[in-house]
Amino acid sequence: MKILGIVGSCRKLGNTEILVKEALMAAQEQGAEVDIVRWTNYDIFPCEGDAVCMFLDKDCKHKDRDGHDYLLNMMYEFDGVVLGAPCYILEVEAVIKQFIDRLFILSSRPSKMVGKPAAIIVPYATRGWTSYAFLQPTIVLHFLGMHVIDKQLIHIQAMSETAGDPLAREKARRIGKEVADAVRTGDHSYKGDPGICPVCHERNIRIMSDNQTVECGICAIRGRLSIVDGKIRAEFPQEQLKWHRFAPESLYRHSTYEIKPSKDYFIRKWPALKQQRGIYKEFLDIDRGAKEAR
Amino acid sequence: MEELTAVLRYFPLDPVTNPPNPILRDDLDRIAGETGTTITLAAVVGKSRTVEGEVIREDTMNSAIEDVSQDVITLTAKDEKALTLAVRALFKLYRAPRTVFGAWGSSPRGREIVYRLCDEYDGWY
Repeated sequence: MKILGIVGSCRKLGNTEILVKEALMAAQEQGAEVDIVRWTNYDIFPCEGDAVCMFLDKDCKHKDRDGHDYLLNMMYEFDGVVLGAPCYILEVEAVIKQFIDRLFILSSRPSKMVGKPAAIIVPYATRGWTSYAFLQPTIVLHFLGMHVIDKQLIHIQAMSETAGDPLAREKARRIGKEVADAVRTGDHSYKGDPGICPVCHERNIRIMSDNQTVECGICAIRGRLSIVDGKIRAEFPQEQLKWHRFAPESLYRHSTYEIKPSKDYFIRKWPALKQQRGIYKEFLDIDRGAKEAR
Repeated sequence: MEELTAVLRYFPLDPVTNPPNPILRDDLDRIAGETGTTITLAAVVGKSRTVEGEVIREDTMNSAIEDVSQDVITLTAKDEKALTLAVRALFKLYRAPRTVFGAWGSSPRGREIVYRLCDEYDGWY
């Protein structure tokens, strides 16, 4: 049983690193072989949207230039993941989003993490500034097909403060033990705050423009709100739960019927668009100074 | 006035993203009658499509848009008001097609009407 700790933070021996290590220590006590990687040590270049990975079944042009391919393949060697990233301005550190954007590669090279358990740890400084803290970690793990079994916000701020905070360490240890247990037993039932969405357990719900329907923006399942005994309740039809956005069959159909046919669309539109875009090419120099800036 | 055409393409997605109501001839006839439009329905089955229980497989990578499995609703109308009313009614029942090629085959003005109505209400936002 192998568990990988991913640290999405630059700071050496910062709270994220210590929390993830504490989780891995607990997993190791359960018999797991553990390892750790700091994603911010690697360049992850922006996806350029050329879709060669999808339409031409080629490797990404950045494959040998940055660390994304390496980090993804590293993950594939493990049976479970503890993902830690600090909450910055309402969301976690941007390296997680950078990693997500390059996962278009999964359209032609399916994830090898499908069905494996994962958990999320997010240290943060100020209560009330964590509204979207779990957004990117949840997306990246769900998109990889993983089962998120717990997520913890940990209120901690001073340099390495976790080292002196038994409550924070205890939360992290619980995460590590849960992931190890999940790998060992196959029980991937969710252990954290149930939240509102029954799939991803997030509390961010969108009110659709009909002002009647609500949607989990991550999972795309839709339902209705009601007020019961003065409390808001969101109800989602049970039959939707196995067809959420990141369910393997849902992703397959999205790719097959909404993405792949766009190749034909692009080819057929291109001759006219190539001509029509000419005036924009000449208007202003958008790339001036770019080379010098690098 | 030149006849207007709007084509709406609904691909076989999952129960969450498929139209919330089945596409039925009776409903299309009713909307056509109420709006003074002509509405046809065609079901396309892709050559490589296989269905086994809840598992659908189809190779669409190098397919023409028209050849991919889908339900195609084609509306023709003599004026914009009629087309607008009909497309709006269909969006209420089925939501708007989700892709940029979901109206492929529409006349230029028909396509404009479809996408203007998407801004008004597409069922997805």
